[in-house]
Amino acid sequence: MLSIESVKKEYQVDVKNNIKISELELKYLSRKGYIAQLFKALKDISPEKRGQYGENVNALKKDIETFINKNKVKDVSEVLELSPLNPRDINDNLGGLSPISWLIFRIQDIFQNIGFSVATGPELESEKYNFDALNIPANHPARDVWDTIWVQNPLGVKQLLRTHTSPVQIHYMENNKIPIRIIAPGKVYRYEATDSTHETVFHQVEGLVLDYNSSISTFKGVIHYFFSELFQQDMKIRLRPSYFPFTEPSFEIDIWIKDRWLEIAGAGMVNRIVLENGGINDPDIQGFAFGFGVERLAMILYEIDDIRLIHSADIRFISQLGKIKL
Amino acid sequence: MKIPYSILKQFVPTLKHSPEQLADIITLKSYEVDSVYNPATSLNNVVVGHIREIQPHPNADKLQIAKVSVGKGESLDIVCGAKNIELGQKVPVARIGATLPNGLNIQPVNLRGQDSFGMLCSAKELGLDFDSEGILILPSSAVEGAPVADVLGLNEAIIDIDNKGLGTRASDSSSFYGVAREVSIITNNKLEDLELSELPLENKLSKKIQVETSLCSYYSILELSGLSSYKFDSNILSKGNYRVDLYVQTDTFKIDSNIHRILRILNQKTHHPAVDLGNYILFETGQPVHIFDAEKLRGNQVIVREAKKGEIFLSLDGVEFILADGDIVICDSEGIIALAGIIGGASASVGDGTTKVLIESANFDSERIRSTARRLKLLTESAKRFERKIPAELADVAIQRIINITQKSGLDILGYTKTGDSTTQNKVVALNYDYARKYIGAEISNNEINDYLKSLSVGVHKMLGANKYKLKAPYWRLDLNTPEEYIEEIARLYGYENIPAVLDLDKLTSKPNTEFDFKRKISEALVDLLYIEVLTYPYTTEGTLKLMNPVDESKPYLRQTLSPSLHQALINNQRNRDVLRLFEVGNVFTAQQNLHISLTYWDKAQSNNKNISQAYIDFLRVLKRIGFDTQLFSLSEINGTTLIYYLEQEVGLFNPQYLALEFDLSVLVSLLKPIQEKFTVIPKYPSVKRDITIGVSKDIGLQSVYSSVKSIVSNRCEYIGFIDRFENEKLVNYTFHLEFRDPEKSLSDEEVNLEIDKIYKKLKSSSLDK
Repeated sequence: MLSIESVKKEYQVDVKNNIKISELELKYLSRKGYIAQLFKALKDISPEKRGQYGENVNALKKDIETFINKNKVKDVSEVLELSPLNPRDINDNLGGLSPISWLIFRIQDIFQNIGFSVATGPELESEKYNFDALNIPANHPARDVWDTIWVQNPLGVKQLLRTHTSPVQIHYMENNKIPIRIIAPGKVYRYEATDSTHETVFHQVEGLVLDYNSSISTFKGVIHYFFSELFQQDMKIRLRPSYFPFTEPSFEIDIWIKDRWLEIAGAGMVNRIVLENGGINDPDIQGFAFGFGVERLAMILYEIDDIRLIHSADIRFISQLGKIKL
Repeated sequence: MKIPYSILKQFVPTLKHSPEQLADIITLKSYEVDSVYNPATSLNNVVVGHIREIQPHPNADKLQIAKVSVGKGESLDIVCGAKNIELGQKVPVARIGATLPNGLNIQPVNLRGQDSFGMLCSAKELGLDFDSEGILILPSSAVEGAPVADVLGLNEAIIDIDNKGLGTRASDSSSFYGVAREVSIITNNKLEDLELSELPLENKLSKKIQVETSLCSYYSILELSGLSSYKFDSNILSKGNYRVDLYVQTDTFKIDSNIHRILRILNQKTHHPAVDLGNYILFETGQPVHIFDAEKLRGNQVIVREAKKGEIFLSLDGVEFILADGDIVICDSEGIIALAGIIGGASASVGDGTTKVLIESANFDSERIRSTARRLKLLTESAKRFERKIPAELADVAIQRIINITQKSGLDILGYTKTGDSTTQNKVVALNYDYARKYIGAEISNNEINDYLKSLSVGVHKMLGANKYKLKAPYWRLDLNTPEEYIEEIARLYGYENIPAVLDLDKLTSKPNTEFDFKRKISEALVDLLYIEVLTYPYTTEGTLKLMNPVDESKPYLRQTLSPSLHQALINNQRNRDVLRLFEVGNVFTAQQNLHISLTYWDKAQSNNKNISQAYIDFLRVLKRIGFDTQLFSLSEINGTTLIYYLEQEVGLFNPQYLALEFDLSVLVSLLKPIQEKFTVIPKYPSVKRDITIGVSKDIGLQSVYSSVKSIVSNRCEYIGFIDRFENEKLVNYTFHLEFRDPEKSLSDEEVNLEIDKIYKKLKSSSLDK
C-alpha cells in the first residue's frame, strides 16, 4: 500500500536523479499521480487520523509544487517546435451556421439598418390566417398555387402547416400600430414531390411596410437597397406584373445576375381587403409586402445545385459555407 | 396558354416585333411568359422521304428494308418494323444525328445483319399527340428532303403564357383574341376585329331549352346540318394509319386548313371536324362550346339542371362518374348528355356518322364548375376557363364566329335559340387620380392616365372635384372592380421601369424581438465554440399531431422534440469525423409551438459521459455570456432522463438514448433578467486551495453533500467544486476542491485548517457522515 513516506522517498530519489520536470509533474501531480492516489486512500484512514493524514499529504504536495514551479523554467531549454499542420485538425473542427441561418441573420442586419423589426408567427396555422384573411377564399383557383400539408389536431380542428410566411402580416397588423415595418423570416411547408429544386420544408422572408406614404416607388427603393447590400454591388432590379390575391397591384421581382434576369421574389401593394382583415380601415394607410425564398437565394449566392442538401444535416456541406465576412 | 405568333400577326397585322422581343414586352407590361419556342426545332434532321423500294429483311420476318430518297439524289436504306408502309408513300425520315422529342438519338445501326441509316417515324415519335403505332404517312404533295416540321406546319414561334399567374385577368387572357388585344395595346398597334357574322334570328329549333338552375345565366344552341357527305374513312383512320392530309381535304365541310395546323401546334388531338372547330373556337375566343350529335338527342328538350347525389354520368371517353348534389348537368329527355362546362357525355357524342350537330354556347357558375371539376379531377380546357369566369357576352361571340367560319363551307343553320342574359354589368369605380399618383409614387398626368385607360377601352367620365373620375371597364375585363385594380393598369402601362426607386422611408428604430435575438446570439456563440448548426426534417414516426397528407408515409407525425433527429444526424456524420459538435434550433409542435434547441458533443476518443457533460458546459458558458446565473441551474433524474431546471423551472432535459441535450429557448428567455454588469475589485491576496473527501452512505446523493458543505463554510470560502466520486463496500466518497480567501490579508494554513475541521465536525454531527 502507498504511504506518504514511500512517496516522499521516491520523490527525493527522482529529484536526485534529475528526472525531467514534466515527468515529475505527471508522476506526482496529475489526476492519477501519487498525490491524487494518496488523497484517494483517505477513505481507508480512520476518521480520527484523517485530519493529520490530509495535512501531511497537502504538505508534501506543496513541496513538490514549489519545486516544480521553481525548476520549470529549466525545461525551456528543450527544443520547442511547431509541429507541421494537419489540415483536418483545423477544417474538421470548425463551427458553422447553417447557410440558411447565416443568410437570415444577414438579411436581418440589412433591413434593421432602415428600421425594420423582426416578427415571427406560428408554423402550425389556421386556414383563416394562411388563406382566408389573405383574400384566398376556399374554392378559389388561387389556392391551387399553394400545395398544402394539412394537420388533424387532437381536438379534431383542421389546421395546416403554413404554406408561406404571409400569415405573419395579419398577426402583426392585429397586434401593432402604424407605422409597421417588419421582416418575418421562418419555415414554410408545401406538399410537394422533392427534387433538386423542390422541398417540402424551406424558409421564406416576408416583408411588410405600412404607413401613410409608402408607394411602389418606395418599394423599388427598398428592394434595390436590400439586394445591393446583400450582393455588395449596385444591383439591377426589375418589377413585372403578376398576381397574388393579397396584393394589388402585384409584382414579380427579377434581379440581373450572371447576364440574365432571375425571378427572386414576389411583392405588391397590400390589398385593401387584407388591410381590413388585419383590422386596418384607415383609407390613408398604404404600403407594400414582399416575400422571397431563402433557399433560392442561398443556392444563387453559394451556387448550390440541390436544395435537398439544406436539410441533409451533412456537415461536409454545412462546414464549407457560412464564413465570417469582414 | 400557348399562342402561335402567326395568330398574333393575324389580329395585329402591323406588329413589327420578333416573337422574342414581343415576349419581353408582354413580360414587362402584361403577364408572365413561360417560354418562346418553335416546335420545329425538336424535329431538326427529320425530313420527307419517298419510299422507292421495299424488300423483305433476309433474317427477320417482321422487318422490311425500305429504300428512301431524301432529296438531292440521296437514297437511304432503312430497316423498318411497321406494317403500314407502301411503295410511293411520303414518310418522315429521322436522319443520322437527329434527336427526336422523346430523346432518341438516331445513329447508324445494324439490325439482324442489315445496316440501317435512319428511322421512319410514327406521329408519336415526332411528339405529336396522336394515337398511332405505324409510320405517319405524309401528303403526297410533300417534297423529298423538305423538313417534316414545315410539311406539318409546325415551323413557327409559340409564345407560352403562364396561365396560373394570370389570376383575375384569366377571363381576358385565356384566348388568342384576348392576348392579341393586349399585344395591340402594349405595342401601340391596331387590333383587327374578330370576323363575326350576325346572330341568326331565333327560329324553330327542334329542341326547347329548359334551364332549371340559377347556376346557368345564359344558354344558347345553334343547330347545323350539311355534314352528310363528310365521312371518316375508318380504314385510313384506324390505328397505325394516320393521314395528316385527311384533315385538309375533306369534301364538303372544309374547315380552314390553318385551324387544323394550329390545333396540331397546340398538340390537340384531332377529331370530327365539327369538334375540332369547337376546340378552335375555345382557343380563339376563350368561350368553351360543346358539340352534340343532334340525332342522338332523345326527346325534344335540352334541360340544364343540378344533379342529385349518386347520379351516374358516362363521359364521351367512356369513363363513369358519380355526381354530387349541385353538379350542373345538361340532359335530354332520357338522361345526362353532358357535365356542363366540363366534358360531354357518351350518349350524344359526335362520331363518324354525325351529320347534324347542336352547338352549345353558354355561361355557367364559376365556383360550381370549379368544385365539380376539382372533385372529379376533370381539369379540361373548358373547365379551366369556366372556373375563372367568362364574360357572358362571349357566348354570343362564339356562335357568331362559328357561323362566320362555317358559312364559307356551305353548312345550313337549321335553328337557333337562347335563354338568359348575355350581358356583363361591370361596376362603375370612382378613382381619384391624386390617390393613384400617391400609390404609385410617380407624377403621371391626368391626360396620360386617361390615355392609358382609354387604350384599354375603359369608359372614363370626369366627376365633380379636382381629379376624380368615374371608370367603367369593357365587358371582357371582369377583373377591374376597385380603384387599386385600375391603378395597376395605369402603373403597368406607364411602365414599372419608369417608376423611380426612392428609399424615402421615415426614420424608425427597429424594435427588438427577444426570442429571435436570443436564438441568434445562442447560435452564433455556439458556432464560436466550434458547434455546427444542422437542419433536420420535422416529420417523425410518432406523436400527437398527425398529418392528413404526409409527405413521407412512414413519418406521418410532427415532431415535439428535436433530439431524435439530431441524434440521427450525429450518427450519419460519424463516418466522416472523429469529433462532432452539432446543434439545431427549431420550433416544435407542442401546444405553444415553443422554440427549442438541441445540442450534442461527440468525441470518439472520450466516454459519452464526458462528451455530454462537455455539451452541457458549453451551453451554460453560452448562457453565462448572455447573462444567465449558471449557478441557478440544477438537475434531477427521473426514469433515466435528466431534467434540467433554472430557477426551479424545467427548462431542458437530457435523454441518454439520444446523447443530446434539449432546451426550451422560449421558456429560458422568459427567465432571463436584464444584465446589470458591475466591476468587482480584483483580489489583492492569494487564495488557499484544499481538496477534501467526504464519505457518506450510499443513499446520499452528490447534490445534498454539496449543499451541506456549502452551508457550513464561512464566506471566506469563495469556491467549491466537485472533483471525483468513488465507492467502497460501505461508503460513497465525494472529493471537492475548495478555495479560501480573505480580501484583507493572506490566510494562514492554520486559519484554513480550522475551516476544514469545521466542515468535518459539522458533517459528523449531522446525519450525513458515517
